[in-house]
Order: sequence, then C-alpha cells, then structure tokens
Amino acid sequence: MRAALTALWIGLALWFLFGGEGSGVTELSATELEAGVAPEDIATGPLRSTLGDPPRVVIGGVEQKCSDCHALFASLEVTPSNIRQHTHIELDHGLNDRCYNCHSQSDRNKLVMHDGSLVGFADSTTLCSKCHGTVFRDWERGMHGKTLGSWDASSGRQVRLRCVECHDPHAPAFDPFEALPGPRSRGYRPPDAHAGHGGEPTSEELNPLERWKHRREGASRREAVEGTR
Amino acid sequence: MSDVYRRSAPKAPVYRQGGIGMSRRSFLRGGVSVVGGMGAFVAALSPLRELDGDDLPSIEGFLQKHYKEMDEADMAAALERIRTEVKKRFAIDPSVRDVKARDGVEFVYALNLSRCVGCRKCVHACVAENNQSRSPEIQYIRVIEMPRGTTDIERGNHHYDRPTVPDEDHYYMPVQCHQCANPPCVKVCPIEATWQEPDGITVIDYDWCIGCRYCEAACPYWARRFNYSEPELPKEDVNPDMAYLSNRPRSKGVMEKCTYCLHRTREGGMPACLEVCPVGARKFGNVLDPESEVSWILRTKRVFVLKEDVGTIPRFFYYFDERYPRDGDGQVVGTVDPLREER
Amino acid sequence: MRDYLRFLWRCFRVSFIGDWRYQAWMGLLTAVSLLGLNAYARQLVDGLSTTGMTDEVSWGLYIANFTFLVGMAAAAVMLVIPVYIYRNRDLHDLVIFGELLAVAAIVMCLAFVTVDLGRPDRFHHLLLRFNFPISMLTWDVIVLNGYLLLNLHICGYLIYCAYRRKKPGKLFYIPFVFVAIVWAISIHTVTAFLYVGLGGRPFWNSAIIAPRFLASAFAAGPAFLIVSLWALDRYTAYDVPRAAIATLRNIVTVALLINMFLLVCEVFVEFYTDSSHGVSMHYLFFGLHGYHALVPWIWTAMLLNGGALVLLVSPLTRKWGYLNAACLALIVGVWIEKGMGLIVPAFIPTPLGDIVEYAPTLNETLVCLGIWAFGLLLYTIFVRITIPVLSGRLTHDRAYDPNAPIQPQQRGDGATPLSTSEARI
Repeated sequence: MRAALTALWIGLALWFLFGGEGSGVTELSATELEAGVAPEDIATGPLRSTLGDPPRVVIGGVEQKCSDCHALFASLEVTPSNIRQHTHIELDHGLNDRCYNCHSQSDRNKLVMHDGSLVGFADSTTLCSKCHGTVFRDWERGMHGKTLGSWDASSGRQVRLRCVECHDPHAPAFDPFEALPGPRSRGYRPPDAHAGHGGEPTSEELNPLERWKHRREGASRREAVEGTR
Repeated sequence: MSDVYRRSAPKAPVYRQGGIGMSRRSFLRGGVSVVGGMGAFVAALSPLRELDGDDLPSIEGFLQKHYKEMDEADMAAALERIRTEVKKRFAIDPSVRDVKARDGVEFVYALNLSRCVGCRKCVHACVAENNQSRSPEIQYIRVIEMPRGTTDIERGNHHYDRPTVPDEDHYYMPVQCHQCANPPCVKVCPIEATWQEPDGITVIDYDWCIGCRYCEAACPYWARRFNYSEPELPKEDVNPDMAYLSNRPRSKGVMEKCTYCLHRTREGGMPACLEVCPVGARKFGNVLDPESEVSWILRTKRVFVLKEDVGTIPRFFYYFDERYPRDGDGQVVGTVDPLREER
Repeated sequence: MRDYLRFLWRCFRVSFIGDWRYQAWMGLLTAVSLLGLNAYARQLVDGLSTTGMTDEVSWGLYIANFTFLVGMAAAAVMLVIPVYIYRNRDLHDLVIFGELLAVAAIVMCLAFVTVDLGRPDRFHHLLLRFNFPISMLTWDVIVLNGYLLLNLHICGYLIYCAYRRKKPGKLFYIPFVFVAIVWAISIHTVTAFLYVGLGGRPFWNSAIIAPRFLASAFAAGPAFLIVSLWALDRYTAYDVPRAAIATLRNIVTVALLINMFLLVCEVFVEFYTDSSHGVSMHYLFFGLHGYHALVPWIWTAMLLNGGALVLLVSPLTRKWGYLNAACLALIVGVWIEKGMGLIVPAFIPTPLGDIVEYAPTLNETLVCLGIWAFGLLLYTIFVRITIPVLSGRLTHDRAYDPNAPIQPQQRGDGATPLSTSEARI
C-alpha cells in the first residue's frame, strides 16, 4: 500500500510540474476586441461645422460671401424649379420648403425673421426659434441639444452647441448612424438555433398583441437577435 | 427491529497484522510515503511560479490604509506608488491625483429616450476614457434595444447588430451605474471597499476590494464589473489623466464601475459618454443648482427611473421630450424635484 | 500543556494508521485534494477567468457548494436537539459524529469562500474595516467562525477528557451545546439572508428561502451521517446502534417532506402568478428564449429528491442498501437544488434582461473536488481519532493499542459515549 501511495505522489508531482495544460483561459485578442472602434468613431464635439457669419466659401481661389454673387442677380419672388445653383443643397425641412422663409431676400448675408427683421448667421438659433419655439425653450435651459466643456455654468468653460452644429438646416433630421460593435461578453452564446420555428410569417405580424404573449418562448429572443442582422 | 439494518456479511476483523504500524520501524517506512506526499504538495503549488512581481502585492500596497483613513502623506505615497506601477506597466508618465468631492454639488444624470439612437458611441468613449480592460472586455454602459410598447427590460436586446441605427420599431435605453442614493452595493460590501461620496458618486477603493462580488450580485442595474483576469490594455490606449477613485488601472480580482468620470466631473468637466453623444441625449449636472440643466429636466420633463420598485433612489433619470406645461404668465407649472422629495 | 501537545501528536500518528482500505481511501482523498490545490494555484495565477463565472453569472459552483455545506454544518443540530432536549438515548453516541461533521463542513465552507475571492491576499481587510452590522456577509463571517469555534471546543473538550480519563465538567460544555443549537439555526438563516435581502434578484427575494434552506439541510446532513455511519459500521470494528439509524431515517424523511412542501409553495407562487418575477424560475424549469442549460439539472434534482422520498417512506429503507441509495440520491438532489438550482438561476436573466448561461470549467470543478476531498479527509481523520479515544484505547497513560480492552469513559450527562456492547474491539 505504501509503495502504491508513494508512486501516486510521485506521479502526481510529475504531472503538476510538467503535465499541466494550463487553466485553459482563452480570450479574444485586444485587436479583435477593439476592431471597428477608431478614434474618430468616438470623437467629441459638434457633428457639423458652419461657414461663418456671414458665410464664406472659396470659389476660384477667392473667398466669397453670399452677397458677392447675389449682388449681381436680382432675387426672384419664387425659387424657380429649374434652378442650377446650390444643387448640392437637398431641402428636406418639412413644410418649410421656401428659401426666403429663412434667408433674407434683400440681404443674402442675413437671415430673416417673421417681422422682416434680420439676424446674422451667428445668431441662427433665433431664426430657428421662430418656428421651433418649444424646442428653443428647452435648448435655452439645456434640456435640448448638447453642452460641452463643463456642467458648471459659472465655470466659463461651458460651450452650448447651436442648432446648426448638429442639424443641417436644410435637412434637419439626423441621418441613420452606424452602430459601434456590441458587447462581447465572455460567456455569451447566441440563442439555441433549435428553439422556435422556421421562416413562415409570425402571428405577430397579424396581431400586434401577440408580442406580449409567448414572452418566454424560444422564438422571440432568437428572432430579436437575428432580426438585427 | 432485529431484521433492521442487518449486516450482509459477517464483520471482517480489522487490523489483523498485530501491532499495526505503531512500531517505530513501520512508522518510518510510512514516513517515506509522507515525504512523497509533501513533495506532491509542493509540486501542486508549482503554477505559482508564474506569478510575477506585478501580481503580488507590494509591501506598501499590502500595508496601504483604507481610502478614508489615509492622511495627505499616506495619499501622496499611494499616488507615487501607483505612478511607479503605471510607468512600469505601460511605459507612460501618468497624472494620478486624488480628486475630492466639491461642496454643494450632487451629480445627477438624465438621459433623453426620445433622442437616443443606440449608436453605442458612449460605450466605447467610456472604455477609452476609463482604462477598462480590453480583454477580457469590460464596459460600464450597456445599450439595450427595446421593442416599442414595453418597458419590460427582459424583452430588450443587448446584442443588436444592425447596419444602421435607430430602427423604427425600437427605442434604445443605455444603462450604466445609477449612483443610487440608497445603493444596495454599498450596503452589502463586507469591508467598506465601496461607498457613496458626498457628491453622490459611489466609488470603489481598488486597493481595498477583496473581490467577493457580493456587490455585483446586489446591483439591480447590473452596473458593476469584475476583473476576472489581469486587465489587458494596450500601452498606446492608456488615458494618462487618472484619479485614485476612478480610472487608474485596476488589477486582477477587483470590482470596478462607472464613476461619472469623477476625474473630469469633479473638476467641472463633462463625463466622456456625454461629450461623445452625437444626438445630445445625455445631460449631466448639479441637482443642487436650480438653474442647472438636470434640475430643469427633473422639474419639467416626464422623468422616470429604472426599477423604482427596488427602492434604490437612482441619480440617473430617463426622460421623454414632451414639452412642459406653463401657466398664463409663462411660468413653468409643477416645480417638484423628484430626487429631493424621495428622501 | 506538554500533555496536550503529546495528545495532538498521538492523534496525528493515529490518523496514519489503518488497514489497506483506510490507506487507499486516505490516499485517494489526499490525491484529489492535491489536484484541487494545483487547480487553485492555477486560478491564483490566471484569475477567476479560469472558472465559468462571468459578470453576468458572477457566482457559481463555489458559492453553490458553500451554501450546501453551511447546511451540512447546521445539520449537526438535528442530532443535538433529540439528545440534549428530548433525551434520546439512541442518538447519544452519535452526537459527536454530527459535531465533527459540522467542523469539517465549516472548514470546507471557509475554503469555498476563500477560493471565490478575487483578492485572497487582502483577507486582512476584514479585520481592519468590518461593515457590521450592515452587510450580511459580515454576519456570515461571524456566525460561521463562531460555529466552528463552538464545535471545535465541544468536540475537542469531550475527546480530550476521554483521553485524560476524566469526567467532562458539565459547565464546560453543556452551555456551549445549547448555544450551538441556536447558532446552527443562525448560520443557515444568515446564509439565506445573504441572498434573500437583494431586491435586485427577484428569484432570491423570497422569505421562504431561509426555511427551505433549513429543511433541505436537515435532510441532507443526517443523510450524509447515515451513509458515513454505514461505512463505519461496514469497514471498521465500530458497531452503530441500529435504533439510532432508524431515528435518523425519520428525521431525514420529515425534513425532506417539509423541504419538498416548501419548494412546491415557491413553485406555485411563481408559476400561478406568472408575473415577470417568475422569469428565473421559468428559466430553471423550462428554459427561456431557447436557453435551457439548467433544465436537466433541476429535473434530475426533482427526480432524485422525489425518488428518495418514496424510498424513505416505504419499508424498503429498513435495509441498509436502500437507505443508502435514498440518502445518496437525496444528498445529490439537495446539492443540485441548492447549488445549480438556487444560486445560478438568480443570475439568469441578468437584471438587464440579458441571458448568459453558466457552466463550470474543469479547473473550477477540480478546485471544488479538491475542497470536498480535503473536507472528507478531515472528517475521516476526526472519526479515526475519536473512536479509539472514546472507546478507551487511546488515553494519556497508554499509547494506542487496537487490541486493548474497551474502557469506556463517562460523558458528563451520565451516558457512555460508546457503550461497551456496541464498540467491540
């Protein structure tokens, strides 16, 4: 018995010293994990930049204001449908589909309010407020929009972005965003492929209430995950 | 009862060999086996050879006091030790400091569910800011894609992988530490390694935590993370702007969590997740200042907290963009601060 | 003092003596303990990622075993109460084995908690800042260590008195026995409170868990004793009083009945209500959204517990073989019910509704087996020492002689610890 035990100890000791496979921890490499997240994906700051007040663009090597061209051409009352200029502007602002609703017909370096008074481009927020009163009120209080720099108004570091620093005034709705990669939890496995059923239309499409029923069955989660691909 | 528990076979006499092993000689012979067993014991511990200096606590680290018991000299020494360790580990010269809570400040977060598009930029900006382990992956924020028509979080999807977001049939709900006013995680910690600061932020002393993970089990918001392995963080990705209680590198075997980026916010800055948000869905500020953005939101928006029924009194609010009502004079109607009233 | 050291030395030597079966058993336990130690060394190096635990399921097999073993420790009280309160003579001789089992079980509990820690090197922080009485874990630290000390004192005192051939002073142990009765209930109650006090985990947040814990413990603990007494009876010279086994069987049966009843109560509440609180229970019994890792576990447990109950109430278990089978089934059944069936499902789904399943890794399993083997090793040694001392073959004036006549010692309350008729050698 003692000999057997001694042999057992020696065998165990040798296995501990030389035979161990390690604890079998496998992890994703750092590059795998952070794939797809570049510094510019998580850049802070305004989504858009503006052209200044008054707006300036470089045409033919010379910096020009709006008025530099528009001084030469009389402004028509109605924007002609065959307009050749500004074709890069896609106007998608709901009912607001007339240039002069916002731009001053008489002074192209200014924007215009309901009462005909002019505001500068730097003060475009005032212009937006003429229609978007409630959003403007929220924005004034910081409840809409984005504040950078500091949460402390007294710090002097607070920067509140203006409407046009996020929204394109000609098409204010956001474009769809690309989502950054989701979590890769160590233990996560997609739901069992055997759960649920095949490709036939779900009863959910017939009656919206079906979503609330069958809330714990296999199909719903798998479809939720697969439906996003 | 005589038939009960009858022995199937007659009992074998035991210890037949007279004297049985108590003689000195046989005891010595047994000793060979004992020595062999000792050898196997030592060999069993052999993987510990792979523990390098970084894994073992230094003497200073071992003797370091709890955060609340450190005086200025202790803290200076601790920060110096951390600086040296970071330099050794990542070959960078970090700015490590201890940032204290400000008087008259209580931080609150508000998140606009009408705006969030589920792009997960906040998740990754947070990782970049707070020096979380990239492998195994640790993230403080989870964005949940919720089907319209339910607030039952169990119906949400954490793993959505769409080409573009938002999806019109879903809304998106990011969840991170709610910095509760009645935090269950703090209550359960056996050694006070985690506590609530005067400005409302629940912090962890990474040098005190023993890694029992009771707080992780207690948190109703799944906001705490554990370092199951030595955190892996590429040198070039280290954020050198560090604080003792927030984003300094952690070690294997301790808990960590969102601290509202206290190394930024206690110095007046904004949390990283807020600054990166492309749609301005995130709002942060001092709830004790009635003119702050968050105070206005709490007074005037349709605000709710997640899992109010568990009694945690979160400092993280969700809201929708309905406009607030005003009376005839243009004054806001209903100026109730929900957080203050709870207490 | 010198005499006490010599006592310990003699105990140490006795624990190495036995026939080939004893040697093989001890060798096997030592080998498995070493495998566990080796696995734990690996875990220390690589971190807890060597286990199947994740941020989603942050407690696993370690805490499951811990919970089960707290129950085993508490179960000693099921022998103490009949003997010291109801003056049951049959069980009297066996009380000491229950108390020794409690000591071994508590040591295993402490080991399981230690291996679950991420930073065991900071254990001393418990002494420096102790969040008492707010954290239930601090209560658990106190009651577990207190219970360990109580039982070490009671067993150690009685055995040492027998060794010294003197009558134990009642004052030195009877009060401790009664404190230990209350204390045993408290260890399992406090352990249940660890879980039930968490509002964020609806699966645990149920008042019935503490009584369930006690009932299942009072079934599994005595069942383990029955099996170990059978082994003693079968392989050593020690004769176990038959009436005692019958009493133990009754205790196990009633405790198991109560446990099943409480489980049915809980299952009814969750499934009949069918609110979102029942989601973890649903996952446990039927799976959820295509995830069903725990379903085979819990139905195995139900089958084992149900089968054990049927056997126990039937006359079949008047035979050792069936009784052992029932006890083993019950131990495994309760182990699953309190481990994989109670700890793990509370984490699935996570509080945020994500589903990540849990399966223990090989390394983690080895650590668990190692601790179990170490605990059984301790228990075997305790029993190995206790029998010759209490039957008067190992005393202060005489080294161990297995062929010596029995000179039973008087226990303080007048009963013989191992009556002459039973212990033959």
